Parts: sequence; structure tokens; C-alpha cells
Amino acid sequence: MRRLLLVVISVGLVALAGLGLMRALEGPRATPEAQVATIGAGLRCPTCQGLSVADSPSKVATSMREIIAEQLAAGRSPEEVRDYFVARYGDWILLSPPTDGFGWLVWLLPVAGVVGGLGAAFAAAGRRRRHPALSGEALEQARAAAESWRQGRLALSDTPAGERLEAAFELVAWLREDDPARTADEESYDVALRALVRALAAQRGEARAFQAAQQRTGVPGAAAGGRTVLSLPGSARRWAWTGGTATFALLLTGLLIYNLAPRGVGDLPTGNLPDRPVQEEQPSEVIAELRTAVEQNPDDTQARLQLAAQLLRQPGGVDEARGHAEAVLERTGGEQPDALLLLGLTQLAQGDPAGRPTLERYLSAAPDGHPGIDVARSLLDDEQ
Amino acid sequence: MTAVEQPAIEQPDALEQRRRRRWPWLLGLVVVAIGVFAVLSTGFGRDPTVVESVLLNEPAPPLHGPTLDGGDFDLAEHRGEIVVVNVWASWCVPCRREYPLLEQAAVQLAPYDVQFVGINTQDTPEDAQTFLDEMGGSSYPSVLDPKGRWGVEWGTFGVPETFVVDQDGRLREKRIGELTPGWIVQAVAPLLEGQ
Repeated sequence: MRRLLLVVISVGLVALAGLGLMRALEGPRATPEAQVATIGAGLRCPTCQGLSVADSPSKVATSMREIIAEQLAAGRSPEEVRDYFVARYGDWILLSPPTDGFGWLVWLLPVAGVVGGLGAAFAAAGRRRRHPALSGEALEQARAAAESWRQGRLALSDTPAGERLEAAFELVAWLREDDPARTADEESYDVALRALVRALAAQRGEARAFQAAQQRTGVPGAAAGGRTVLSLPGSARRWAWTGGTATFALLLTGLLIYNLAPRGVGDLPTGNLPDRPVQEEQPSEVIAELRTAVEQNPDDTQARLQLAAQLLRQPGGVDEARGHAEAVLERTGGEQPDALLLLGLTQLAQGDPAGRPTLERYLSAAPDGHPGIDVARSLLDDEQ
Repeated sequence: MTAVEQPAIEQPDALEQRRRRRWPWLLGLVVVAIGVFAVLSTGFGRDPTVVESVLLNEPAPPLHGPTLDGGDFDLAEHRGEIVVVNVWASWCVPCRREYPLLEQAAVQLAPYDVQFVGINTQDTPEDAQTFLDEMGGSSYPSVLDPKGRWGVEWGTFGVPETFVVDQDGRLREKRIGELTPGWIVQAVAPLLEGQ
């Protein structure tokens, strides 16, 4: 009865799934609006988060719906309309993965999972069904073993299989005790006997594993029944698990460190490394820091040059910038190109006629490729 | 040790079978672990919000139509020039911040045959004009795109976005988001060297 219900439910589910699949595969409906909605539902709205073009009220989505409608009206197929957007935005614009290349994997994996799962389920069911078909010989053996145990002629090993076997023996013996109701219960006895057959098989399997372990480790048979020897394969497995997990964790940690190390404090832990400082410091803060540096060490020409460059960009900072540029020139012997450039620029900004000769001095002092050469040249050209 | 006398050693197949049954699981586990590792190793270095433009190094999409200053612009007429296309809107804050950079670059690069053009997208001409007036005027035209149609044509995700089209009409660079002072120079300079 229950099996019938199960079959009915399974068939119903499969039928429903098939129906849904058919509806999903059905082409767009006839009316143009529905067609636009169908195509739009498969396109990602570029300015939204997780919305399709059909669902989004944004302007871009609205005009994309217009484009879809126009192209359909012009006789293009839904596929061509989709391709139009793919050509501009890439596969990213499609809400369902493409059915070629790598995209196939995404479509196939669930199907493979369902087929594989069903296969595994059937295989398991088949195995269980095969189990009851125990040979009469095995049952006879089990009955004999149970009798031996009852008479105390059997010693059981102190292992999981041994304990299981003991439980099975006990159950069989209990069912055969002098209780008419129990002895009459043939069905229970049958079940218990089968359990005993399986417990015996497990015991044999354990014995073989034990022998194999002995062969592998070279431990002499004298250790028979010793728990330490029997636990060897188990401990090896545990070691393999621990080692594998530890390796995986180590790899992940290394990966994290490798990826996070170049990121500064406050950077996002994921995502592309910014190709520019994400948060540029406020110029006033930079200037304050540099001023402190210069005060602490007036001979720090690099700090002075950076400070002068920053000041030059600030309104009203020209005079101070010139002072620092001159200070650097004093300390470096008068031909430091950066200082010359900054001095020339401040002089020009102040309307000082000395600016031109300073820039010319800069041009003769600057090495090839110095970043200010073009600026200086164009300024000198303008002045003429 | 064993409960019954069983010729255990005569059936090594069973053990062998069980071992064989176990290895697909192990293999699956290893594959899954490698997969997780691969996904994480690529995923950490990637920004999911950044989408590579498929238009790069392809012929640039068309761009033509009336401009904000009452004129007309057609990208096709500017073959042989470098064209910097900036998608903007008056309501977009980063556009406001980057605008002085564009204006400055447009003036400085004009002698090198670099044409600047805006796409004023999802905006009204009035608002756009107010924006430009506040910015001190514009030295280059902006194509009107009130419905964002040109924005879609150029595959934009938002504003601002900036494109560089080379002399052969190919899209060579694209920037999503606010410009930095160096970007225009870095994008345009390699194209100038060929001249």
C-alpha cells in the first residue's frame, strides 16, 4: 500500500516536472507585449541589483524594453534581439547561462545530479532487495552458530563486528526461549536470523581486514584479537582524513594571506585591488603631516619637495612652496631638478620674471623623461 | 577469534571490492576540494561588480544626433581622430567631480586631434545646461540621450563611463566610474604615438 503511494507520488512529481519544463521551453507568447516581457525577463538590468529588464522600473530598463519592442516590430527574432544585447554587454546580460561552451556545464550538472542520484537510489534499493535472498546454507550455518553460542562454545572478539554478532546471537536466543508466544513468532525469528547472517558476514569481513592489515604491517598472527592491531586500518584512515583536511585548510589559509596581504587596512577583503588609492587623503592632512616632517628634520629634502608640490596646488600656498623649493636648492647645491621645477612654477605663479630662467635651468638639469619637462616647455612657449 | 570456522583468506575479492567501492567517493571528494579551491582562488582576486566590456578592440558603436548646444554630432565624421566619449548626467555626483578633468584634457589635447564628446544620458537638456553653466561652460559637445538609448548602445552600466575611440574607429579603452587625472593621458597617449 505504502509502496503504491510512493509510486503514485513519484510519477506525479515527474509529470509535474516535465510539465514545468515544457512550459519553460515553450516559445514566447503571441502578443508583442508578452514577447517583450519574455525576452526582458531573460535580460539583466544593467543599473539594477538582481532585477531583470522586465521587472525593473529604471530608465535604462525602460529604454531596453523599447529597444526590444522596436526590434521585434522590425521582424527580428527573439534570439537576434538577445544577441544584440549580448554584443554590447557580453553574456553577463543574460540571466540564464548560454547553452554553449562553459555554460553547458551549468545546465548539465543538475541533470547529471538527478540522474546520478536516481541511479544511486535504485542501486541501493536493488541491493537491499537482493539481501533477503540468502541461501539456505547461510541460514543453516547461522542457526548452527546460534546453537553453538547458546551452549557457550563460541568466544566472540571484542570488536564492533564481534559486539554486533553477540547482539544478533542474543536476539535469536531470546526468540527461541521457552515462551510459546515468542517461539510461535516465525516472522521475527526469520528477521533475527537474517540479521545474524549479516553479522556473521561482517565478522568475516573484519577478520579478513585484520588479516590483510597483518600482511601489510608484518605484525605476526600472535597479536590475534588484539585491539591495537585491528585499529590500524582505522587509524590510517583517520590520519589520511586529518592530513587531507589540514592540507586543504593550509592551502586556503595561504590563499587568503596571498590575496589579502597586498591590501591595506580598510580595503575591501574581496574584489579587484584598486588601481588608485581608494581614499585619497585630504590635501590639508597631507600638508600637515609633511610640515611636521620638515619641522622635525629640516634637511629632509624629499619631504620638502612633496610639501612644496602639495602647497602649489593649494590656494595661497605659493609663497610657502617657494620657500621650501629654495631651501632644497640651498641644501643640494642648486641643481636639483625637482626643486628647480617647483621654484620656477612658484615664481611664474607669483609673476616673478626669474621664473623663465629658473625653468630653463630646470630643463638643462632635468634628466631625460623627467615628468615636468613637457609642462616646463609649454610654459616657456606660452610666455613668449 | 572468529565465531565460526570460515575460510576467510580464500575470499580476498570481497575486501578488494569494498576498497574499490570506496575510491569513487574519495575521488569525488578530492575533485570537490579542488573545485572549491579553484573558485576561491579566482574569486578572491576578482570584483564581481566589474564586467569586462565585450566592445573593447571592436569597432565602436555608432553615435550621432542633436547635441546640447543645438548642433549635431556624428562619430563617423571623426574617423582619423581620437575621440573620447564620456557618458554623464547632471544628477550624477561623480560626473560633477570628474568634469573639470575632462574639460582640462579637452582643451590640452585639442591640438593633437583629440575630440571629446559627451553622451548626456537619462537627463533633461535644461538640467544638463544648468550643470554645464555651474561648471563654467563646456568646450565640447554632448549628444542628447534623454532615454538612455545611446547608453545601451554603448553597453554602459551607469554613469559616468568614459571610452576612447582610436583613429580607425575602434574602441580602445573603457573606464567605469570616476576618472582619475592620469587615466585620460594613459589611455590617449599610446594612440598618439602612432601619429
